[in-house]
Amino acid sequence: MDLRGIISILILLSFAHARAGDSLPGSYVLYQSSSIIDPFRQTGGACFSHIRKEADGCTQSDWLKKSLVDRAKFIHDKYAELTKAHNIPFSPRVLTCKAMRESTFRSQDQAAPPGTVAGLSQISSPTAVDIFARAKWFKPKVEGFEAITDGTSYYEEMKVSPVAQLELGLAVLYQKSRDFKTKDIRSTLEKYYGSEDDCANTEYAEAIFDCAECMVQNRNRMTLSCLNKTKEKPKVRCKRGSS
Amino acid sequence: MRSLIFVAFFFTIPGVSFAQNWTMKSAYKEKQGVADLVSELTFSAGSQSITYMPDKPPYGVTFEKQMTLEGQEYFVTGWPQGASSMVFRVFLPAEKKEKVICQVTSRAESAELRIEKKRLHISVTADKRGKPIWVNCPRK
Repeated sequence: MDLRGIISILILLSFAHARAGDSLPGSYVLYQSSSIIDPFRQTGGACFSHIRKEADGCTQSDWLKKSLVDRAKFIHDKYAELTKAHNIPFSPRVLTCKAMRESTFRSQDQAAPPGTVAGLSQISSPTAVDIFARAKWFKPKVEGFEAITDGTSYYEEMKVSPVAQLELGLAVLYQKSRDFKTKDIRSTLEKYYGSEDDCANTEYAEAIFDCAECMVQNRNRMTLSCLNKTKEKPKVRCKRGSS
Repeated sequence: MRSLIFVAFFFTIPGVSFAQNWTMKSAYKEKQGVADLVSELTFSAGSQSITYMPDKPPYGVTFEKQMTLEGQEYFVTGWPQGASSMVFRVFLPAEKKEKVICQVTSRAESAELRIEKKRLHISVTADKRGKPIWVNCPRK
C-alpha cells in the first residue's frame, strides 16, 4: 500500500470516528427508558433501621453524604419527573418542602415499632397497602418498581430507593386529593397530615408553604434557611378554638 | 328509672339477633361519587347479611379482627388516615348501619382488646420494648 492509500484509510477512519461521535445522542435515545431512574438505589442491603448506627452501613451511603441543599435539588428534580410521569398537578417545590418536613431528607429513617413509618415521605405500611388496593390510577414508574402490584412488596423494596419513597409519598398525597375532592394542594396537605386537631393540620400545610414561598423569593434557590422553615412555626398561625 | 328504661330498650332492639355468630369480611368495591375503590364491610350470620360502606374518608380498611370478650362479640377495624396514622374502630355486633362503640387514632398498625375492671380497653401502641400500652376505649 502506497502513501496515498494509507492517507485515504486514515481519512476514512477519522470520518467513521466523527460519525460515531455524532450518533452518540441517537444511540442514547435508543437505550433511554421511560422509567424514572434512582441513582441512589442500593441493592442487597437492609438499610432501614430505627437504630441508625454506622455499623448498619446506611449512614455511609452516597445519599447521606450529600448536603441537605444538594438532596433538596435532587428531590425537586425527581418530583418534577414523577409529577410529569403520573400527570399530577402538584408543585415539585412544595413537594420538596414536604419531604423536608417529613424526614429532613433522611431516606433511612424509620420510627421505632410498632409505628413503622419510614423513608423520605414517612409513610406507614398500611397506607402503602391501602394505596395499591384502592387507587385505580397508580402504576409505579420508578425503574425496578414498575412490575410491583402490591403495597407490601413496594414498601419492602422502597427501603433502599429514595426515589421510590418519593413516589409513594406523592401517590398518598394525590390520593388524598381524590378521596377528599380537595380544591388545591394546601387543603390536600391538611388532609394528608390527618390529625384530629384541625389547627395542627393547618400549621403543617402553612409551614410547607412558607418554605416553598421562601424559595420563590430567593429566585427558586433551595437555601437551607428556606428548608428550615418547614420546622419552624408558620407565619400564619391557626387560632385554636376558631376552627 | 332511666337505667331501667335503657335496659328495657336494649333488649327490645328489633331485627338483628345478638345470639348469632357474626363474621366480618371486607372487600374493595366501587362506590358512586368516589373516584377510587372503597372497603365494604359485610357482616353475615347464616342467611342474614348486612353491608356497610363508608360515606367519607378514610375509605380503605387494612386491619380487621373479631373477638369475643366475656360473652360479647367485638369487631375491630383499622383504616389508614393521613400518611402515617390509623383510625381504629370498635364495633358492636352488626346492626343496620355502622355502630361504633369507640374510636382511636394511632400510629400502630394493629390493635388488641381486653376488658379490665368491667371496662373495655384497647391497645394501639407499644413501648420501646414492644410491650402493649392499654388505654380506655373512648366512646366516639
